[in-house]
Amino acid sequence: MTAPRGPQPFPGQEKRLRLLAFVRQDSVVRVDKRVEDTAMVWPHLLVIEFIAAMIWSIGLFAIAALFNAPLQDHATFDCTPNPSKAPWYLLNLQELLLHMDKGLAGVVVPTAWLVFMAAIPYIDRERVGVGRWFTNEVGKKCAILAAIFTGVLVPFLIGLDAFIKMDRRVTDPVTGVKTGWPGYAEFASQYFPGGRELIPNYVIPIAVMIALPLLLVWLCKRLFGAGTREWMIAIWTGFVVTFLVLTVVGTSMRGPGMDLYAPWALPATHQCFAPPPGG
Amino acid sequence: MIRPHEDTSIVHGGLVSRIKRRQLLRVGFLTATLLATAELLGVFVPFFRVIKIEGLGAKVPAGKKADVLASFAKTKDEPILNTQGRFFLIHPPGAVVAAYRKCTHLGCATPWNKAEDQFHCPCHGSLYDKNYALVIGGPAPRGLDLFHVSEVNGALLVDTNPLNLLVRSDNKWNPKHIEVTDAQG
Amino acid sequence: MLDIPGQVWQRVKTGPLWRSLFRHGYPDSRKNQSLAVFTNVFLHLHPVKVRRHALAIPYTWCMGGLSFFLFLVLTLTGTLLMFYYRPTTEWAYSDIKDLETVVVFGQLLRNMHRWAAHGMVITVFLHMVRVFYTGSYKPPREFNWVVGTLLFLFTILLSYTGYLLPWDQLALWAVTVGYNIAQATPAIGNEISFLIFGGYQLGPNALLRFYVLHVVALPLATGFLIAIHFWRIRKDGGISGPL
Repeated sequence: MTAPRGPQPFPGQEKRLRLLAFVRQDSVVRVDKRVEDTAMVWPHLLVIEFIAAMIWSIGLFAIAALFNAPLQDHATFDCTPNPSKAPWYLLNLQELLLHMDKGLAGVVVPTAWLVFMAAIPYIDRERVGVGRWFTNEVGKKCAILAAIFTGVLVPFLIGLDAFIKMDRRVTDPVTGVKTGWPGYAEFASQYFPGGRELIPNYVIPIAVMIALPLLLVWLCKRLFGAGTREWMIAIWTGFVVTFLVLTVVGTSMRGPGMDLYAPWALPATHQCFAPPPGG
Repeated sequence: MIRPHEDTSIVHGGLVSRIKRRQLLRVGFLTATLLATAELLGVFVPFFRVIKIEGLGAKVPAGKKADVLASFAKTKDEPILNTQGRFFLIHPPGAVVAAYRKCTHLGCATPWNKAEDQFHCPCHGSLYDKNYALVIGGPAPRGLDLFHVSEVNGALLVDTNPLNLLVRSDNKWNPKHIEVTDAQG
Repeated sequence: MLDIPGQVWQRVKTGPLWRSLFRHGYPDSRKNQSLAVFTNVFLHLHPVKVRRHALAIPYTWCMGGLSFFLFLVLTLTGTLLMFYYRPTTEWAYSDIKDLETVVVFGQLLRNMHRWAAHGMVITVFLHMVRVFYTGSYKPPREFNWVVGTLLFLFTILLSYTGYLLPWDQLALWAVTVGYNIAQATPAIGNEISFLIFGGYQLGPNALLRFYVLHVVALPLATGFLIAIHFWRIRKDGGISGPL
């Protein structure tokens, strides 16, 4: 007898197996779920998707017909608009730039946040509460507390920074001596090590960005006995509110020179400063 | 993989030598993957690094020195704008200097204001003087930064690399910044 | 005479062409409804059945689906805009002007592309907010949350690269803000901004690079991530819900 061609089975393992499917137990046996809990995708889900797509198509057409996309003059390096602003979804970062070191605000903080955000499910691994808004009453309370906490503190910090950063020295007309508050960067450059960079642009912002979330978490634990999921809700709410506040302030309250203005009194952007003719 | 190795016995060192071979293969695969990745990265980075630079960053010709000096003489040292290289040629005593037209405060393009006879930045009102481009008012921390200038056969060549500037942190004119004199001939 | 259309329709439906396209009857029975979803390459992104609460708008907000919808709209309108746009500093601006003035429906397409791009940033953000507050990132969906985070980043990058393309004052200076931020990256700032933008300032290289990223590299990467995202939704047990 000649041996058959092709790969041979191991001795003692003549019966060859194939993997046809891998079935996880919880996806097949649902003891606690009745069949009635499900709906057919056709027609129920598809109808919803179809209607949503239609409404949005028509709405987008209407908006596109009514409002024109902006187009300004041809780009030139000869004229800098004042203020120069990034697209609105990055104005939160640009707002952050005003309060700390550029690299810290523009690169380090957003990167750190994105990494933290991606890591959330690896920190909060408890499955309880999936599919329920805010998980439970404690979660809801944490969200409300965090919204108020952040919604008050962030505008306050922006205002404080604008207020104490300004140089409000008065020069004596006779002696020429300046008196008054010089703005904290200037103050730091005179009295603190590291000058106008280290403490105002690094130490204070980093301390604030670490201390306030920690304080929030501590408050949630202390007041409501929050667990991991609940304090994570507080942190996330803090992020959402900060993101919104910074975006709104950056978009509608920063005028020429990136100074603070009331939204209704915002001066128009100085578009172009072409050199005077012949100049 | 399906066919077992013929000598599972102790012949030729058997099991021991096979494990070693597996390790060798594993290390080999790992090394090859790492090498391939490194190669890709090593190609990508230099590929995206531009070598031929146009505009800012290049060595920009700024005309014949004689013409520049004639223009200075005619207009009482009015700065000459070079849009391509984003600099002004200015005329401090004894030199021809190229000043990077980027406000040292927040980087706005600083225009020459003929009526006021000075540079007047529109963003925050920083003022620079005509001959030295040093700060005489406003929030700017120092005078406009200077590009390196050289003279080749009577023509001026400005190295507009913004990472290679003459920075005047003390806001003072220093004769050692003179690279091209205004001597004729 | 009057039953001729009906007869023709019957012939078509029993003919070889129709039966090569659809292998089931009209989806009015459970079996045919299942087959309609199961055998259709577009519909089979869905399971045959979903849990009933997944249909509730107050639960899903529809935001994930709408983000995908806007991505498709942007792909379509963007492809159309590409027919009239040249990514060079000489032509970009005048091509956009032409789109607005001499291309029929050019202005409408550009508007749709612009507003849909803004809309997608909003819907993706709202989708993340919904997913977070309903705890839908929890195991076994951890990895899909990571993919979602990347998709959020890619949405913003897509929008940002597109912002430069009109080559007007708005575009130039908005992207210059980004250039200055990239330059402030600790230690490698100057290197990285030179590498990304292809020069010491925004110029022809930056425009071309952003164009290629905007129309090829980023949409491809986003498409891949979307595919993984959808696949993982199915594999991780469908849309989240109470245990």
